[in-house]
Amino acid sequence: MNRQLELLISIQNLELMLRDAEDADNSAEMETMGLKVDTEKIKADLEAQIQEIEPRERGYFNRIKNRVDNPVVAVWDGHCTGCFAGVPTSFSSVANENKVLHCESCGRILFIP
Amino acid sequence: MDIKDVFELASPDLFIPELEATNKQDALAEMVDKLVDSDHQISNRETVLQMLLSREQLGSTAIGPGVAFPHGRALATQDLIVVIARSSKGIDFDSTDGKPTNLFFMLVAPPQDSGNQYLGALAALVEKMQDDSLRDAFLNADEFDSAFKALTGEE
Repeated sequence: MNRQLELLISIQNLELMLRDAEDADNSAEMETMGLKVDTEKIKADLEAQIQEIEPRERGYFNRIKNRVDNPVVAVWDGHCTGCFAGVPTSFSSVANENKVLHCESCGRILFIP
Repeated sequence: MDIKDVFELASPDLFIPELEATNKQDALAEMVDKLVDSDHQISNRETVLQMLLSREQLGSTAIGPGVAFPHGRALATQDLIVVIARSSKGIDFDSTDGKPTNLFFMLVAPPQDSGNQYLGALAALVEKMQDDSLRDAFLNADEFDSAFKALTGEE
């Protein structure tokens, strides 16, 4: 997989981790289990990974992120899981050409899980 | 969520009776490979592995005794999935007590899940694994079915 896309997916996964860590109920439960994570550490890792993205992709990522909470989503059953619009069947072959692709409908960054 | 519900999320094809791995990264990779080889429609192992490694960098999930719970949400799944693995020799998983880890419950959750199944499943597993006799019975079970029975008390 394209390294830039790997980074974008990793960033989105860290965003999900941060969302859970910042939820008071979740965080309290995790603390009880001994599995609480420091939100500042997650933010630092996020920032470090964001800086690794090439400027053009980073700019696009930030623009989409200003509009939606989940700028990177998976394609399931031929649909973007952000807006549920159909994704062209050519996607999978084009994706193999090592490009970061976007949903033609909502603009989110797509990947095949 | 009780332990039976958690085991419904696991299955024999997500059970590794004896890990070949001898270190933390390889153990995580072996469990992710098991997930990719199953029928959960996940073909991209790297994104799941990277998520688990990122979580471990924030603090080990080997909260003991002898048990680790690598976990996290991943864009790459639509369902909560549980992979169970064992290592009779034990693996250095940066545990909080410094001892080797023998049992692994890997939870990979989707970005959204109704009723926060993910947290409920994790809590049920952590609670069960605090019981010494249950943990020992689980360690001595050599198949998925006997592991299930060891934890649920079912005959």
